[in-house]
Amino acid sequence: MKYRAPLLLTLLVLVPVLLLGMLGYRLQQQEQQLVGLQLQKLIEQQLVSVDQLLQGHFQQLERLLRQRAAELHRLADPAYPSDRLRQFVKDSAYVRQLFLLDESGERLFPPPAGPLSRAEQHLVDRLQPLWRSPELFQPAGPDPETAAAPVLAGNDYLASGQLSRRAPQELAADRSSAFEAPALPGAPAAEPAAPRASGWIAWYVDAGLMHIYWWRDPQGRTLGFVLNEARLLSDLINRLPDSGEGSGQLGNAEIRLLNGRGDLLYVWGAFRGDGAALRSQGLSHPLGSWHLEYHAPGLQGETLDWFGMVVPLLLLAAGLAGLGYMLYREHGRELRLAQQRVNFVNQVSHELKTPLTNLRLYTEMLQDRLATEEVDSGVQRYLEVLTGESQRLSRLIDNVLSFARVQRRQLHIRTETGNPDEQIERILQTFAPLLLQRGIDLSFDAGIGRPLRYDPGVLEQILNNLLGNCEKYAPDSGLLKLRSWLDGSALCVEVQDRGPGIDAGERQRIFEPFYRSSNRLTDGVAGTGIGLGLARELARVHGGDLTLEPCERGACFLVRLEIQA
Amino acid sequence: MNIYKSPHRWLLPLMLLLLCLPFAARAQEVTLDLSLATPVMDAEKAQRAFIKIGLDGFERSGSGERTPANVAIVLDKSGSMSGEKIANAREAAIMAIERLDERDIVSVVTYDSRVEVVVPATRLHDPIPIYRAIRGIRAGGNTALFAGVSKGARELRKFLDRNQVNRIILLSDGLANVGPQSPAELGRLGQSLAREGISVTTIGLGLGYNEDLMTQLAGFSDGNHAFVENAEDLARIFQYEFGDVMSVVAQDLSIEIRCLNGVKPLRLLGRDGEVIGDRVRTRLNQLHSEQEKYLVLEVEVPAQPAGSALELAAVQVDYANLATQQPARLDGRVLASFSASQEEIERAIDKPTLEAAVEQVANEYSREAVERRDQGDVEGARQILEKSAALLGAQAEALSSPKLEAQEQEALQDADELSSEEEWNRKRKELRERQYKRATQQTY
Repeated sequence: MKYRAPLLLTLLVLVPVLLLGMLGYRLQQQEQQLVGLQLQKLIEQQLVSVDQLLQGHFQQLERLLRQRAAELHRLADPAYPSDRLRQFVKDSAYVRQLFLLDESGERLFPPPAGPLSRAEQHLVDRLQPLWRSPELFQPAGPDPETAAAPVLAGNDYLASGQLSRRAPQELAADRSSAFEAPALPGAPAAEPAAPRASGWIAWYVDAGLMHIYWWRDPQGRTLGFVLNEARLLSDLINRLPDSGEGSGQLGNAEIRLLNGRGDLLYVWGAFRGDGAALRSQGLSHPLGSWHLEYHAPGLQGETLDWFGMVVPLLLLAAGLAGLGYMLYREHGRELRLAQQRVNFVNQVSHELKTPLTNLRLYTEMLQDRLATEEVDSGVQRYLEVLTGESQRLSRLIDNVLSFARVQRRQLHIRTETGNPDEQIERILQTFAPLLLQRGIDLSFDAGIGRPLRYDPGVLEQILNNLLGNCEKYAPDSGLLKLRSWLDGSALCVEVQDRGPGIDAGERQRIFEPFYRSSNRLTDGVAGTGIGLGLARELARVHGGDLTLEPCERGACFLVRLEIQA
Repeated sequence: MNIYKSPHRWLLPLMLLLLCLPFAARAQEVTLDLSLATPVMDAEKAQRAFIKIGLDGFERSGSGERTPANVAIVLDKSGSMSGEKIANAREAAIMAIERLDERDIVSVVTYDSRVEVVVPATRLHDPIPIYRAIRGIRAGGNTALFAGVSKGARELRKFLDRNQVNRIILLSDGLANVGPQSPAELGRLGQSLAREGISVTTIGLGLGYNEDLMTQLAGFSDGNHAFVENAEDLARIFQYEFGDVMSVVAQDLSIEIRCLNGVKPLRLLGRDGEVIGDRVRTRLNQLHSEQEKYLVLEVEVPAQPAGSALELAAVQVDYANLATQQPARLDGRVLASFSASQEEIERAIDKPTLEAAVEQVANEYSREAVERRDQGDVEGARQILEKSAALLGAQAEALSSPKLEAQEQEALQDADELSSEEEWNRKRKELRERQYKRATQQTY
């Protein structure tokens, strides 16, 4: 028990600190996760915007090519002139080759009969399989890209103001005939009749990617523009920021553009480092096989702010420990003070015992002397009061001393052989005058009638307390019944009064030391509050018990003491 | 199209004519010079013939008159460029820009693994900040050549105009390792740029670059190519290049050759052309002042009776004349006559044309030899070069041409130096450069 207080104090310090530490750690971890998620979201947005940027290029290209296709279609009368198509290929910076299929998917250009250039022959060899798969020339379902909002700046394709100046030159022939087109009876409306019947195809050939834009004319023929993929990549790269702009936009990060084989095509941003990408994202059709990678210095796992977390915890622990230590010292001082008081009371009680013994001795001696002589009955009565009070005083002192011994676990049983009935009789005799005064009649039903080995001091102190309580708490209650019997190896004494009894709620608490029953009863009643507790402790030390027995009226205590063989 | 109805249409040439009167001595026009190596051919025999299509650039009249230039200098600043190389490149670029004036537009792009636009396309009013920006270039990193050229092209496009010389000057000393890196892909980019009127000059520095990639990129866009082994020579090459840029008089030359009367085109020597049936199409990007560029077409002529004459081909050239800022067209026909007399045939031989044809044929042999050597067949390559030297020797004697004699010596030397493994890298770059220059009649 000596270490209980320090242990409690340690717990007092450790438990909240640990709890707070754990909570703080969890909180910080959660926050980090949140930051990570937000960052991922941000990265994703950035990559999506890059994807949109590249899609924008395809949208512009699509507009341009659709326009070119419509212009070429106006030249068809009804067949497309091969030399015009060749001229177009020759002059176009973006289109590498052109092909034309009829409604049933048969090739019309490059001309199936007639000489082909090497590049055309090359194209025919590569694209045979594509032409045999007409299902590829179907508009992709509800295509969000083609249905998307109008693209900005349609005419100055590729941000070249001068290019529009060039366009009339480049397409002078096409334009002039375009103006005549409405006059031609065979030519349908200028705008592509079915704008949906066009689309992009990404076609793999020889481990390379070909981008083809196809457009179906109102007669069901399909024009296919095979893009110059080097130029396409070059234009895509030109849409992406250069190193200076990239650093401004991304901060310390880089974005890499990779093709289907994982080759690095372009990279921008200030961060330079290897290692796994924080995020990788595929691009939309027709760049489906390409992807973007986002690289940045990793989310540091060590950024857990240990310092910021540990220091307040340490401060808290120190504060709590200091407070605990102060409380502990205060408590110790109180304890020492209380101990000193108890010691003092014990000392005093002890000191009182000797003069009191003398006082009792001489009072009794005086009583005996006076009994032989004829004296005033008043004197006799004074002496009786003296005897009674000094007895009560010595009982009180016995109680205090016994209590102290019980507290110090120094109470020992000293068995003697004696007749308990006779002893009880004697005790009752000493109490009789007092009780009579209080209007209590005594009756004793002795049921043992033989000597036993027990500690008469214990029995006396118990009975003293019980009878004393009767005297204090049950005045004018009439008959006080005592009964003794032998129950096996137990000496039993029952004390039953007819007083106000004990409330059910107090049945347990009356045995607690320093507990005193309610004010109503204690009004004007003196007492230390240790009597019943001490009595039960004594009975228990003697191997028995003191219990409160249920009875119809008043209080009924049963004392059991284990007798020695 | 109301221009055609406007009276200004008549006024403008009239005024131009009046303006030009003092200099009218020389026409401000490209001349088309068609010739046949053997104008008189053996009768009754199918045979091969070489047609030379020569284009002569006129001299710009009026001193100080020249075509404005729009130049993007694309510099490699990868790790391998560090030290002397980058310093020389910086100074060479600055010295070259010093030759330009406020008519011209300059941009500077550098690349390592990233691409940086150091100087966005700017008209040269105040060159000092440009020099400062160039002096700030430091080397380090990988080689994103493709993206560098792309961004250079983007800068050019900001002021793209067919009436000025639009050129990217690419300097690289290493292999492209970020982005596309095959000669074919770069060639296609060059092709696309050429169609916009942009040519790419490639300067290979040191022994680390890919000469095939550089010549393809230059070739498809009809730019120049140079192999610079020592960085100190960079300044000289840049000077040549800028001189070349400033002497352009015609651009966008589109050449169509139609073979007539059963004549079959076999191959275009030196240059890349599109052959469809009896038609051959090709293009030249630029023609320089007082310089001749030519193509040699080898054709097969069917047997003809003696004494007859035959039209072999019709040639049409469309180009943009930078002096008049007008598109122009040239036409011409190639005629051959047939004779049974061997003496007559030999007397009729057009020596300069045959010389040019032999030069190109030998150049083709040299290319073949490099390819053969790449396959590891050193002996085969040597045999090709020896065959080439024999042809050159025979013709040099027949035509008494010192030029072909020199080329013969070159071929023999090449055949000797072919086998050395350690020297091959340098030799190959040298050969590629020489072949390129010969095929395109590069000015330097």
